[in-house]
Amino acid sequence: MKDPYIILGVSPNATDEEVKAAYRKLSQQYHPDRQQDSVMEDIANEKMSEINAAYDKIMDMRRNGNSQNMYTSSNNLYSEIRSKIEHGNYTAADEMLERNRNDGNAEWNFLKGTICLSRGWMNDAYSYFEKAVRLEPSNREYQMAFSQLNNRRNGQMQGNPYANSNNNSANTLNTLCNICQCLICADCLCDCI
Amino acid sequence: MFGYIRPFKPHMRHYEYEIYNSFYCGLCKNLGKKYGQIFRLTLSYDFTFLCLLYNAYHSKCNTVRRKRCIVHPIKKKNCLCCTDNLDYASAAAVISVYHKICDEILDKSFIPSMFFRFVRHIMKKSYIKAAAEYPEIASETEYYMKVQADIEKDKCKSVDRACDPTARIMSAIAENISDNEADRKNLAGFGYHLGRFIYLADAYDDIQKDKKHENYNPLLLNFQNISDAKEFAMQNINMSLGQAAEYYSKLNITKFRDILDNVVYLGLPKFRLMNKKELRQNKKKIIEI
Repeated sequence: MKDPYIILGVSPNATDEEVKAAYRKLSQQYHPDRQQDSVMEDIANEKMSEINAAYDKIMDMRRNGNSQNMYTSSNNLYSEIRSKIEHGNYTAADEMLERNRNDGNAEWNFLKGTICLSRGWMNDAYSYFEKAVRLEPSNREYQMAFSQLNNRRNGQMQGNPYANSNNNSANTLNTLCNICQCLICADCLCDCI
Repeated sequence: MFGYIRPFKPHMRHYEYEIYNSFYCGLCKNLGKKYGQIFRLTLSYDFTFLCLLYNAYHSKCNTVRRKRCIVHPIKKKNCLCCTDNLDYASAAAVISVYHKICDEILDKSFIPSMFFRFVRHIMKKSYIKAAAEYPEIASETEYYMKVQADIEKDKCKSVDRACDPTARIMSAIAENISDNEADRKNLAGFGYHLGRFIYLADAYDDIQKDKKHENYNPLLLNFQNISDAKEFAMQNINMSLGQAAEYYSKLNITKFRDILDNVVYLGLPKFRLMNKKELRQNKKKIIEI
């Protein structure tokens, strides 16, 4: 999908009101009932669904509060690289990253790690993800990628039918810990109320 | 380098073991019949696994007969008889073994390499036959063996780079099993990480020998201490197995799934238990209760 902000013709920094206004204006302009012939109506229908999808996506992203790292991410370069990675165009994305090597910030490391992962260069991917998390510990996206790789590093395998039978004792211990944790949390909350 | 992709026998059902063995014997006979008796000596578990994977996609006919062979002259063994579903794995085995021999010749000085030169001479005709049937595998293998030789000459420090050629060869072999685009992508990823696993497991096992003879081993270039290097290798192996499992779980197969599951989820992670040397040293038992 194209950048939803481009479809609506607003800047990523626009307020919610501005986005809504742009959406209203476009939907009036392309409303299928306003078109004269059937050919135009088809085009308008297509355009309308695109506008609707873009508007929903922006609203979704803003509600979840992650608009910052999807499209507005500090600069356009990284969003372009992200879209290249999504389409599986790893070589081009990697070239763009290499050209900006001296950036070296958290996102650069994360994207580089993603490319390494897709190539199967696990060791490099691990160190890039590690660096991304170290530079920006609060970012959920980086955390998730890193912890997934870390679990694999410790021997976790997806879809393993034998996984539960092998370390039963560890699992029971874990659940017991969880119960205690929940009880303590609940206790704390009761005190507050 | 061969023989790391094997099942974990204590966890196999009896009939699964019989099926596995019939593939093993069938592949052996097919190699002998189609490419010459010498290739029967090179038979390995890896290609039996490949054979099972291939048959999970293309199950044409699976007739099993009881046959005798040189290794088991008295007792008859179950043996898969249809040649058309064994051909792919046989050709892949021939191509890999031939290139492995070529690689040995390059590694050794003139006189010790004489034996391998002789073997290569015998194998050449069969190799040409297999390569003509599956040119895409042959060309990939040939190219990446050259890349591998260059990496060894340069004494490359990056573990990922060192694994890459082997991984890509396995990726090409696995990818060509299916014609379906989506399956090919997952098979290629699965093959890549299997290859990466094989390379790392081999480096892990050879670490002591390589240190003594000062051979190229990417693990030794990164770590002075052998136990550190081994820990690092295990972490990398686990990452590759995790990645391989992800691709494997996306594969669209139901046939032989239990046997394949056994190999992927038990056989591969327990590769150290199969290593006879380590078994002897640690006096470990195979079954952990």
